This record gives sequence, structure tokens and C-alpha cells, in this order.
Amino acid sequence: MSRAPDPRVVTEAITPKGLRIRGLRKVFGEKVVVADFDLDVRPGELVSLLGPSGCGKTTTLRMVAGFLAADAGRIEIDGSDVVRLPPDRRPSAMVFQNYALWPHMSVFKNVAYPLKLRRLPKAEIERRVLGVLELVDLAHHRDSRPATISGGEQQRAALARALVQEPHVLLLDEPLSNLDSKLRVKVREDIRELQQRLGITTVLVTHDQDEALSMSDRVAVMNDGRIEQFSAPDELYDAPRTSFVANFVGQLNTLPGVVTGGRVAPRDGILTCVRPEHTTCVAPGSGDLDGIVRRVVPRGAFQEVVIDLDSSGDEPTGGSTTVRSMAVRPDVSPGQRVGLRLERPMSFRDGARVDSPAPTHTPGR
Amino acid sequence: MRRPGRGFAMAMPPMLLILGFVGLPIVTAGLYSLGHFGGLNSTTAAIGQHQHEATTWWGTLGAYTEVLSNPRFRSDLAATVGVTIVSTAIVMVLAIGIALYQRFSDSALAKGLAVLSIVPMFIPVVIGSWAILTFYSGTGFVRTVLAQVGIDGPVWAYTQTAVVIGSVWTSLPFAVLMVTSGVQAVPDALIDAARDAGASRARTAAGIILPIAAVPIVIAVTFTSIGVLGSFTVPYLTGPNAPAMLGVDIANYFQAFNQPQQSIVMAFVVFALASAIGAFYVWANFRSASGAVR
Repeated sequence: MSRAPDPRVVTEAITPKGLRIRGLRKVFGEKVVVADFDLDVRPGELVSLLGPSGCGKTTTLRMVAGFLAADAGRIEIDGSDVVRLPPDRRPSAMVFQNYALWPHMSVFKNVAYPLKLRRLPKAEIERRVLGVLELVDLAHHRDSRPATISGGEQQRAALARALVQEPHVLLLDEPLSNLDSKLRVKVREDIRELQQRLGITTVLVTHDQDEALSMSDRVAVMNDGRIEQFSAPDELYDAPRTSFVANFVGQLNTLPGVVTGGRVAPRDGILTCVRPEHTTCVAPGSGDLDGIVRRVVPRGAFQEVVIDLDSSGDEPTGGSTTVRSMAVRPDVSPGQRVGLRLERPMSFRDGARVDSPAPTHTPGR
Repeated sequence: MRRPGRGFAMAMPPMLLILGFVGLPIVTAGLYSLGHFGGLNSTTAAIGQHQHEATTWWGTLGAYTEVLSNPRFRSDLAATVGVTIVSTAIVMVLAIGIALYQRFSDSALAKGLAVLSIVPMFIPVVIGSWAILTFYSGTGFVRTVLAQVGIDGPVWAYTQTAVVIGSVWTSLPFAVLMVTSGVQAVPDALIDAARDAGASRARTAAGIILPIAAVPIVIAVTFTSIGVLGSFTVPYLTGPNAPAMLGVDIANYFQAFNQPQQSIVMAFVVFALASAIGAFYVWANFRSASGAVR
């Protein structure tokens, strides 16, 4: 999909519209799935809703699309409240998790169906469909049935079907989860490139942090139906405001106390957290803590060192606290005594950040 | 090691059973209809009346010519085809309507309708037929109720209308189960995608759900039409004496008129019609297996 844009493609001319959600709420039985949810997506921006299963991200997306009725709240697209409109009257288009291509129609007919419903002239339908199929590099599969093309091609066909509608807001519901890891990386780059080229306002739902961080302008991390933090990807990673966000986005070493005098000392329920890549193996006694290497796990481009911390400076804890260190070529082996230098530690109490978040490395994207 | 002989041997008992109890009677009946009165047909030929005996080595088409040129048979054939088409159409409209209603609605009415529609399956056809008779007879429930408000209600007992009502009654449960299973099997995402593309519920049903559920619908059409085509109890109990459905005709010619050769000719005509419908069923299954429909 790296080819030059086709000048015939009408989707090139999409004027970005914003999405504004206020006080959105959804309750299933006794369970509050989405609670007083607020979100602003700027025109042309790609925002990810990131969170574990059951956090309410897909429910939120389905309410934006109109498949679920909201119990309360407003959903404004380009300033108009659409919360009471059925899905067929909302200016949004969705790409579904399993693509949801209609199996009895060819790729062309799948993409053409939304335009056919609008009773556009046949020639215009043909022109727009072929244009968008070329945009996603699928023109050669126009007559293929969905079952006969690959997962990545199905995903692109689903994207084409959404784009041909020229939606004000594009909704992506875990669109890459059915692809293998290599294809996933390629397709997410394709989607991001296309989204930026078309300047289309997009909401992506995913539980994959890599996907969210690599594709989004901003990421809303959700937990229990609420947004825990809504930030740019770098800020989210470098300066998490809650322990949930710190844990969910990236890996984390959690120490039950504060690090002082070469040991971890309990203090007022404070947890000290350090990312594995900020945990460096050094000579014993020269770091913040000491421990014994339990094992070294090859991870391809780097190695992960699992270390059992000493309870104090010189007594082993028997592995009660374990930390991980990531390094390209750590010069350590199992059973070896090492020191650990902890950089950019974060402190949390009752889930909330209690120290000042470090500034991010590369603000903005 | 693969041993094809063992698999063939394991498949033989049911095949022999079918050959012996279905295939052989069909062959002997076919020979009898062509006028071959010897062998297994000798007893029937000795009793039957108004028979056409073979005049050449392959037989004679005398019985076929007689039956097919008989105005009464033609009228009965037309009635049978007509009742079959109308009943099947009504059954399918009701079954598709109920299935779609269930697909789009979680209401108690939708659930109640689904349960109600399969009730006839648990009521014997004889009982159902008598219920239809008493409901629509000259002194039946419909006319009695309408008479209370001064309306002269219709008498549908012993008419083709009663046969259609009875056929719908007996065929609806299977059709509803079949079509509902097909419609329910359409993934939610495909329906959501259609709604997202701008389709109303009606367009979603016509353009997405029903084409995807085409195979179970075709199966329901096939089974319903073959069932009505060869039905006996409902038309025998609720229908008119003339024109009669072919199922009733076959029984009459065999039992009342003692004309087994003509009866068998009629059975072959019904068989030919059912085979044509069966070919449609096989075609639908073939398309399903090749993934062209689903």
C-alpha cells in the first residue's frame, strides 16, 4: 500500500471531523460496564482505547457505532449529537474484529454495498469502489469471494468497505487480532499510513499495547469502564499516573516499599516500580540492590535476566522478590551474585502515583 | 494400511436393506406399470382390474396413456401442484417471518411465537385435521363466533383451503426450526456490518441474512413441498372428494377402485415431481459444500 494515491479516489478528500463523548454510561444488569465516560478525539486524530478484556472498550465503540444504546450521555460527531440515531444513520463506519465480510458477495460487491444502499449511479459506484480497492491494493481481487483471500486481504477489504463510505469517524474494533504477528505489524503500518494520508478521525479498540502505542496519536487506557489515563504513547509509557497504567503498558518490576540503604524498606504502603529496561546489572555492592541471578532468558534481540533480590544487603531472600532486567548482552549467568542499578523509579500508593512523573523523551508525534 | 474392502463391507448391510425393501419394490412396480405381470407381480395382476398387459418385450405405456389423458387425474394433479405451491409459499413466509422476528427481537412475543410455531409437531396429524374440520365446518367455531355478530362466516371444511391450512399446520414446525437455525447462525457482526453500511432492517434481512441462510431455507422449501406433495391424512380428512390430492387418489385407485396399475402410475408421477424437487435440494447442498453459498 505504499503506492501513490489514486487521483480518482474520492476518499482522498475526506474532511476530518471530531468526536466528542460526554457522560457515556452503559449498565448490563447490575454491572456498570461504561461509567461516565468522557473522550475528545480531535479531527484527523487516531485515538486508541486500550485495556484488558471486560474493561468496556468494545462496549464504548459499539455505542459510538450505534449497535448498543447508551443508558446516558452524549456522542457528538462534528458537533451533532448522534446518540439516539440508529447505526445506519450515523456518519461513522466500522471495521470489525473478524472483518465481517459478507460471504455471498465478491470483494467488489462487499465494498459497493454501502454505496448501492445510497442509490448512487452505477458508474459512480464502480469508480469509487475501484478507487478504494486500489488504495488498499486489492483491485486484483475484485471478483474474489472473501473465503478465497488471505486474512490480511480480508482485513484490507473490510477497511475498503469502511473507507468507501467516507465516514466522519472510522471505528476499528481490534482489526488486527486475527492476523499472525508479522502480518499484524505490516497491516498496522498500512492502516496508520492510510489514516494519516486521508486525515480521517479514527478510534481504535485494542488490548495489544504494541498496537496502541505504535498506531495512535493518543491512547486512552481503560479499566473498569473508566479512562485511567489519556495521553500520547510516550507519555503513557514514561509517565504513567496509576500503577494500573504502568503495569498494563509495558513491563514493571514492583518492589514492596522504598529502596534505601541497599534494601527495600516498607513505608506507608508505597510500591516502587521500575521498568526492566531501566534495571541494569552491575557489580555487587555498586548498585541500589543486590541479588542472585536465577536464570537468563533469551528473547531474541535482547536477553531477560531474572534476579532474586536479597532481603537486605547481604542476606538472600529465597526468591521472595524477583525483578527482571533487560539488556542486549548481559555478562551474567545463573547463580551469579549481581548488583542492580534502578533508574527512573516510580512510586505508587493505593494505585496512584505519589512522586513526580519524569518528563517524556520525545513529546508529540 | 487402508483396506477399502472392509469399508465397503461395512456399508453393505444398509445398502442391501434399501435395495431389498425400496429398490426391488420400485423395480417390480415399474415393471408392473409397463404391463409385466409375471414373477412378483403375478398376485397383484391376478387381483387387479382394468390392466394393460405388455404387448412388446419392454412392455406398454397403455396405463400411462390412460392415466395422463384422464381429465380427473389432470384435475387432481393440478390441485396437488396448486396446494403444494400455495402451502409451501405460506409456510415459508411464516417461517422466514418468525425466524427474522426472533433474530431482531428479544421480546417475549418473539419467544412465544417461536414456541407456538412448533406446537403442531407434538399433535398427531389426525387430531389436527379433525380440529381443522370442526373449526371451519358449517357448524364450526369460526361460523359460530361470527354469527354472534351477524356475519355469515366461510365454510372451509372439505375444501382445498382446509387442505392448505392443514398442510401449513403440519409443515410449519419443521420449516420454522430449519429456517430459524439458519437465520440464527448468521454472525452478529455480519448484520452489524450491514447496519453500519446504511442498511435498514428490511434491507439487512433481504440482502444479507436470507442469502447467507439460503441453504437451510432451500432445505425447508424442499422438505415442505415434498411432504405436502405426497400427503395423505390431511387431504383425505379435510379435503374435497374432487379434485383430490394425488395421495388420496393413489389410495382410492388401489383400494376402492381395485386398479393397482393406475395407482402405481400416479405414484410414479408423484415420484417424478418429488425427484425434481429433490434435485433442487441436492444442488443446494452441493453449493453449500463447495462454499459458494456460505
